[in-house]
Amino acid sequence: MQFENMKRGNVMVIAPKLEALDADNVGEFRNEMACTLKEVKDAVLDLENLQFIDSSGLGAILSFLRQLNASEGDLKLCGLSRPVRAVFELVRMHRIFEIYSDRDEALRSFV
Amino acid sequence: MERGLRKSWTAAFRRLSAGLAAMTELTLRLEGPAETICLHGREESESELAGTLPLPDCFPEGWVLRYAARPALAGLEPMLAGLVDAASRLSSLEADRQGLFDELNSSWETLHSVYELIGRKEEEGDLGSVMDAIVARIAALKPGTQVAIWTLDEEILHPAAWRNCAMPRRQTLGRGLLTKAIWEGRSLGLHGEELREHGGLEEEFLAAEAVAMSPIRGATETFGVLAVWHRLDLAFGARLSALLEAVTSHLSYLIENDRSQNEMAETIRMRKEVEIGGRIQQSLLLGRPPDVFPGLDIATFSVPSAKIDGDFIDFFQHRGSCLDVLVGDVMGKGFAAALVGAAVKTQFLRMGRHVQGPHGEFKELEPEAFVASVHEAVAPRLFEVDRFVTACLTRLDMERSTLTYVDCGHTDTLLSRADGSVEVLKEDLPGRVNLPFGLDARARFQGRSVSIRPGDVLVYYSDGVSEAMNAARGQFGTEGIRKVLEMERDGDAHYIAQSIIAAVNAFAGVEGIRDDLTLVVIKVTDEVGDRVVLEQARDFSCESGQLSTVRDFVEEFCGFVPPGVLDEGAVESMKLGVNEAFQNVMDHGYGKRAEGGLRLEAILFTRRIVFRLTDWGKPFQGRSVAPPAFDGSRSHGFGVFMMREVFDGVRYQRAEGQRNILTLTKRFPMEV
Repeated sequence: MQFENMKRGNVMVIAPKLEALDADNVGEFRNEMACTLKEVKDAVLDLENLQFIDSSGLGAILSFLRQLNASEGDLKLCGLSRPVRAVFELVRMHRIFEIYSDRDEALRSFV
Repeated sequence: MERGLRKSWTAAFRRLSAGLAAMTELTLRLEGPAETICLHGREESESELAGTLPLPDCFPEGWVLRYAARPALAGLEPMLAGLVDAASRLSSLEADRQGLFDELNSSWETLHSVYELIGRKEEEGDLGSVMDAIVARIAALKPGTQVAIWTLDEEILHPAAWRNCAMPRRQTLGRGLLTKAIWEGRSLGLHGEELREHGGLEEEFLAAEAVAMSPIRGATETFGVLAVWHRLDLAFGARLSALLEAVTSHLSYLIENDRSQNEMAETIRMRKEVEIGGRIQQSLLLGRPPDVFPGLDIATFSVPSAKIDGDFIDFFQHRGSCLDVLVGDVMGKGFAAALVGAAVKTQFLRMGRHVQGPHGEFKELEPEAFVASVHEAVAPRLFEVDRFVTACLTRLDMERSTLTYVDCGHTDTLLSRADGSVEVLKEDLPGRVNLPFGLDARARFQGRSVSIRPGDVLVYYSDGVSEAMNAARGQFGTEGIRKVLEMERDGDAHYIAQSIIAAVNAFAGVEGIRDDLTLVVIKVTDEVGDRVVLEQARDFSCESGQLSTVRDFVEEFCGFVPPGVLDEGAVESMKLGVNEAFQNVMDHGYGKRAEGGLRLEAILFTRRIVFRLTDWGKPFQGRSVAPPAFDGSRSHGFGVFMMREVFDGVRYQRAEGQRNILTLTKRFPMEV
């Protein structure tokens, strides 16, 4: 699983090169994310490449949000494709996450 | 209270109930006003004790037998009552024997012989070897002593064990000495003149100068007779009589004991048979509806009882748009009824399959002719076995939107109309009532047709449903079903069926359901005229890493749906729904074990698309479905919710062959 992560100021931008996030690869995704988020307070998850997400993928992202929230940080999302956004809306998670159209917009929201 | 008797009763009961205790976790206690004797199970566990039984007279007033079983055992109480009886019989025999020994005690020599004879044999279970040992010991008392034991079965004496003589004859009761001892129920001793003058003497005793015998008497019947004879006139005295009586008394005790054990084994065997019968009924008599039938939503429900009966159901699919529903009941219960039911059902199946039109083409019979031809074939057989069968054949023709039924004295089938009114499908015009099968060889059968519309609900039920009783001995009746229909008719067929069963259970309350409950609910959906356009299936192993293949299958199949039929995003959402269903089976049905497999079928109808997922894992019951938390406080529990959101219908069925079938339906806004 490839990630193209970069640090912008205090905010970590996480960009998994992933087309689908489902129960079959969520374990690996969780492990990668856990490593990345270890020393991070605020993060942007750029899902630009993602075309499909299922309930387990959504559950994983939700647990990262709660993890960062617990240490008074935040996880913001950007680059959601139409089908991925539809899944977030299906289970009302667009109300829980701050979702931006691209990563610049997401980064600006941290200032 | 006779202490000795109580003790022997308790011992006998404990021994007899050991087999029962091995079947289930059994707690048995004798409870008196100031004393409790634990027979089986634990001393405590007050709350679990399910009931009490009265005790025999050897216990003083106020004593009862308390019992409980976990898991609950059907028929426990009558079984225990039987054991209480058996123990009483055994213990009174035991008491007799004790009295005899007390008497014998005055003669040390005789008592010693008896102990020698039977003392060591008590532990050996096999009656035959006990009898052999007894005759051997008695024969050894004095040289030349001839001994035999006959057992009595239906007025015939069968030789069971003998010594120092040829094999005794098998003989019917008559005028001889053996018969006399049995009839009079007491020991006899004859010798010399007295013996020779006795008429009708048995062949065995013709050359004897002295004969003594004692019947083997149980509490309620005689099991046989023990005889001793000698060529010399030994003048067998009271001492030998006492010895023989002691031995036969002991033997009868052993036989009673043996029988009680066998009866117990028999009871257990019969219970097993009933269980097997229930399974036969489920598989042989209760046919399954087609998994998918355009325009019809079909649910069957069956709760088997301990009894076997002849209720039968089947479904025959003639053409794409025609479904026959057959329900019937054989009068009477038991295996015979079940077999007759199976035979009649099979005849329907045969007639339905083998009818050809004038040009050799396949053609189904009209319902009336169908019923008549089956009756013609089965009526002679039914006369032979003296049974009759009620039945109702319904043909649902979805192309013509009609229902044709031929009712032959069956329970009233209910047709609940979309407007809420309820019709009874019964041929009740005077003089036109169709007779049940097997009453009149020349019977004629008439059917009636009515139109059907989307929203109509058909309810077939066995008499176990309508005749379910409550504590006040009222019947659930068709009224009960009508009430449920009034409230719940908007649900799907499965929901309506479950509501009826729930209402029957609530009605019966503590009385419980005694009969089989068999129910078929058919709802006419708005998909009348819906046809299958395309079907595809793919089998999957039960390993992870296949979700993307599953989604590709869904996407490819959706490619066959003409453009414009599906909403934007519908394909993506169905991929998600099937993905979730698949993963749910992997997680819960198989518990993450890499065994079994999954089959994914896709069916495209003109008005809907159906994905059917079959697995051979655990049944859905117990698979946990927690509602999702929309506030983000929990990161799981979204899967099932997503499935239900994406599809218009999500239906789970546990099917035969230990299959789980999950049917996901998406309706189209317009016809393909």
